[in-house]
Amino acid sequence: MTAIPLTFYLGLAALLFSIGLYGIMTHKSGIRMIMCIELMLNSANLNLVAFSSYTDTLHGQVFAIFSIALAAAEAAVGFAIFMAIYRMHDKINLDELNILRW
Amino acid sequence: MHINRLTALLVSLLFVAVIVTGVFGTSWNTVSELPENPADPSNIEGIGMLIFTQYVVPFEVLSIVLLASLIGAIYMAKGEGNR
Amino acid sequence: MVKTALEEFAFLIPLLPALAFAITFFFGRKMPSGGAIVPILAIAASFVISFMITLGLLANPEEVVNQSYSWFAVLNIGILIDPLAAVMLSMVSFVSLLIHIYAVSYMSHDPGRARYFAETALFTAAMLSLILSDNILQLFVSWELVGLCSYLLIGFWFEKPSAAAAAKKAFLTTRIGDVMFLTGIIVLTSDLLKVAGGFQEGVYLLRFDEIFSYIPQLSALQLNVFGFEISHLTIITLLFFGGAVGKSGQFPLHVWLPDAMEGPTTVSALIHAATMVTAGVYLVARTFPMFIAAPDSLMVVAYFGGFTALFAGTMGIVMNDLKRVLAFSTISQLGYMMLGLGLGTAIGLEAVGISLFHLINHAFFKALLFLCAGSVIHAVGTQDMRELGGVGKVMPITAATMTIAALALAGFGIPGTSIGTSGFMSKDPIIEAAYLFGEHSSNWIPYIFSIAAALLTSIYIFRLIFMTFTGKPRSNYHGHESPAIMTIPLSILALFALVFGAFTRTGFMNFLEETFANSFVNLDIGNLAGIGRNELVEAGGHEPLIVLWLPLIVALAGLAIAFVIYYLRAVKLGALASMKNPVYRLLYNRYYQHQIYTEFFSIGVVYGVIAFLTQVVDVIVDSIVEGIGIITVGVGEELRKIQTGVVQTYATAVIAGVSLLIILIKLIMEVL
Repeated sequence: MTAIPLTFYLGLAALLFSIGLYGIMTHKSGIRMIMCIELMLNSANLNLVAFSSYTDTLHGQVFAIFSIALAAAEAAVGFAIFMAIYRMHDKINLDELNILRW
Repeated sequence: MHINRLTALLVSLLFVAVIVTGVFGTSWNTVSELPENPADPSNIEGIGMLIFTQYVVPFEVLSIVLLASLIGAIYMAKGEGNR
Repeated sequence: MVKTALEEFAFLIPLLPALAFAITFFFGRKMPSGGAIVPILAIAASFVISFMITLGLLANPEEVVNQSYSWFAVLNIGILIDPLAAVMLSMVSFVSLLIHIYAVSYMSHDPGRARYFAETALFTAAMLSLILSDNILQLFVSWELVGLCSYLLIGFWFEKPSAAAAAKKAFLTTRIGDVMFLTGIIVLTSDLLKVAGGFQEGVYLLRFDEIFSYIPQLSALQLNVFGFEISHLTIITLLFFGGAVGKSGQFPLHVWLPDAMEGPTTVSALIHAATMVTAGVYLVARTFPMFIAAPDSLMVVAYFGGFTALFAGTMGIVMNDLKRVLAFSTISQLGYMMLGLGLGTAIGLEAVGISLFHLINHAFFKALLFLCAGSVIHAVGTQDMRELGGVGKVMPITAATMTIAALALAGFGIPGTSIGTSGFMSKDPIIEAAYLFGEHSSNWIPYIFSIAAALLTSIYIFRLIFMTFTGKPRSNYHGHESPAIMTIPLSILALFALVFGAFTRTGFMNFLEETFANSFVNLDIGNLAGIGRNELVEAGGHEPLIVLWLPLIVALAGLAIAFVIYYLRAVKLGALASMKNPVYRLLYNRYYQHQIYTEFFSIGVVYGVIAFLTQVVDVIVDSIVEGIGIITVGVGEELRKIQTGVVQTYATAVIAGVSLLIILIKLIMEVL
């Protein structure tokens, strides 16, 4: 059977990453940004799994599982922070949170 | 300050172009075909073996990180006003 | 040249005290009595090596020790021990050793004694390395090190404002001389490069033998100043003499020496006898061939020396502070040494002999005087002679040794025989040489100066003895004789002050005649004197009897005057020695030097100029500095707006940057 070449997986991952990037750059809402970050993380996971399969080892897939777990932790903490911010500002528009500049 | 959509699009396209060119322009040192194991198409058993043998320490550390972030998230989300 | 094994250890002479400095400085506090044993042993070893080398040289004065190593370019570091250096090395290490032993007891109650012993060890090391330098630059480096150590030691009790001020004064005053000395070295180097035709491999241009070999060419270089043709050699030697004036406390740079009393008495003894003020005399003696070949230089040296001898003596007779009298006495005696060197214009190389002989003898009796004064101060607790009196009863050894030192200083002895104190043996030749010079050139000023100074010397030193040791106590004090560790060095020095001159007189003179005629340098002094248009007289010895006896007569007269006034109290000096008498006031205020130097010159002129320049500089520099500040702030004000504080902007910039960087690297790799 004709298998899909490795480069296609990598290209798909790059595309996913760029979509996430575009989302981060354009959106103001913290929730949407976290979703975009998840997208970028998953594109990295896709790379890990693809390489793991094509080198016939399982280490990459183990790392993908770890990274999914860490993404969960990151998302949990991120949402908690946004809740705290929301309580202070009544919105979570990150471009207005610039009190640390200058 | 807001990044306008056109700039964001251009930067994203530039990035994807660079990455895709790099990906397709590289000869990857891997097996060319996806390996097939008809007898056992699943590799869950192998992953499980790896996690509990070679990667047991990172696994335990990860469990602590998850616990810590869980506690942290609960603390922050709960807030001071309604305890 | 036969190398004896001993010469191989010559480098240890300055190195051992320097090592002792390091050890005492870092570990002295943990050792008993401030680690004094380390410098004492090191200096004792230096003395043994120096003395053995001196003995070897005495047996064979032609074979001097000379080791030179290339430093960089045409400069070298090296060791030169000829008769001149050998006697200095032995004297310095010997006197310094005795002072160190004495200081173990003298400084026993001082909390900073580890620092004291470390600094005196460094002081001695610097002086020893100054003496055995074989080139003028190394001499200058050690010269500066000596100056630094004197600063540290005069300001040893730096918590006292007067000590800190005295240290600063000593440092700044000698600095004037040092700058002249350095200027002299620079002029000398550039002239040497001119006459030697640039750098040559393996030729150490600033080594003394090289310098001396170029004397005729240097003398031929002329500089036109206001229509007068002045030889470069004269300029160089006068600049060197300027350095010597600063270091040896000659008029007009002598003002630091009386103030240097603020340090511990042992430091005064070191400075005055062994390690510092003799450096200037040594410099002139070391470069004596240049001085004698330079027209007029030696005359300047003679006049300055003679005038200083008299000038300091006049101030010595009115001081009430024990140590200040001795300080002015040192200045006066250094004037004699300079005068002796300056008389080389008439008596040639013999001048080095008589001057250095006086230097060595002076070191013995002046160290003795200071240590005795220290003993009195240590026991009694005051150094004001008006409060002393009758100390001789409680401190017999100190009184006896100090009287011997006073006799040596005043120059008691019987002319025409070899009976006399060391001061007599060395001061009289200088006065006789001054007479010879006067007879030769009908210029009697140096002779008159030296005789008058001899009278003053006798008066002030016996005034000191009578006021301190005889009569009734003029205040309540509880004196006691000092411990043996202090009196033994006193006794040794007293022995030397008494008999050293008588035993070594002729041998010493002959020995030093070899300084400039040996395997290192071989110069015809008569020839050089011809270059300098100095006419040497044939050997003396035809002086009338009165010339031989006059120094003793004035010394006795001085003793008699002091005896009548200060022992018998037969003459009341109330009217004469009061502030109403303008002469007394002038002398007591030390010719208003403080007012002239410090208040008028330093504060008025120098501060004024600096204050004016500061204002000018303020306007220029401030506008530059503030302009830079304004530009920086303005640019920063604009640039900081890039930092929006919004995460998206940063992310965009990072991604765009990384992408462009990759493209750039790719392009560069394509090109390569």
